[in-house]
Amino acid sequence: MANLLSVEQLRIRRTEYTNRILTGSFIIIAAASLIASLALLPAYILIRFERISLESQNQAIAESVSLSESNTDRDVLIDARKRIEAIDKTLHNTGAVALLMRTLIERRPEGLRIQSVQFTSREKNTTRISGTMESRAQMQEYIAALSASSLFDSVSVPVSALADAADGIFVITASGGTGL
Amino acid sequence: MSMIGKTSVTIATGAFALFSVGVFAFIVFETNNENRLRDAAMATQAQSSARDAYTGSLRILARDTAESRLALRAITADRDVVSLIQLLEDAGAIAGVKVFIDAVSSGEDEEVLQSAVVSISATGSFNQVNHLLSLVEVLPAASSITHFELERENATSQNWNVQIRVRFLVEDEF
Repeated sequence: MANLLSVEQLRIRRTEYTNRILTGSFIIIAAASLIASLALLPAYILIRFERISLESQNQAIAESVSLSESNTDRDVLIDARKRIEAIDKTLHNTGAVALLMRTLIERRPEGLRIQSVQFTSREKNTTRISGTMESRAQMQEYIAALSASSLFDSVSVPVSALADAADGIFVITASGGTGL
Repeated sequence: MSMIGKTSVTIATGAFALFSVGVFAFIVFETNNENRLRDAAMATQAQSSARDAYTGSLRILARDTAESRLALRAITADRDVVSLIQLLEDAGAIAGVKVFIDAVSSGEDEEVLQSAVVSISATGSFNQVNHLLSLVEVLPAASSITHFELERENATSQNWNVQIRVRFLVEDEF
């Protein structure tokens, strides 16, 4: 098919079509952008208002909470806890000495005389009992009686004191145990 | 309309389209930005609320324990060397023996409290010194017996000597 338009007319027509296509495209793009913008705008406004509201609430909370006041409260409570721990550590042995003395006296066999008692409360409490006896059997009986007590973990005769046993002198050391 | 006029319309439309796209891009950017700021504000609020709850519970706990803490403090407050010695002498008087103060020194300190060690001695019958030991053990103070030595005066005597080391918790170092 032969083209009836001249070259110049053809160029003008092509330019015209191109302009139309471009204008149409631009209008579509502009319309789409505007519609999308309008659709997004409420979301933007809502989020912005929510953000401003949250920030003002945060500021109000920050102003209502005095950091120094809460630190003071925390410090006095920590101080109280440390005091309780210190006092508990000091008082946990209360009654142990009376119980110890009662145990030493009540479990003493007939004929055995206590001359001295030494007690030291450290990480492991130790008690040293010394006195006189009529026979070694009494000392053995006393050791067995003290060992049977839940107050002591171990009851023994110091090696250095074994020689004295022949002279009727006994030395017993007891250590540890519940309540001591 | 001339060709130049039509081209101008196209250019104007293009410019408007570009402007519209710019507006859209701006709104998208700002929405994202606001969203990010809102998330940050929400996180801050969550932290603030948690801190508020924590400080609130601390305040309530501090208020509710105020009387107990005063009572706790009273255990160690106003305990000076004179009052501690008086306590020990009173214990001796109850047990029927005279208590001698041998030494007063500072002991190992606790984190919030100091300690003082008082060494005493007394002489009396076994029952008296044993009674003294029992009383010293339960003094109305934060105290404990850290060491004692109980010894018969001599093989035939009915009298016993006792030396007791008592550790007291106090507010201030002597």
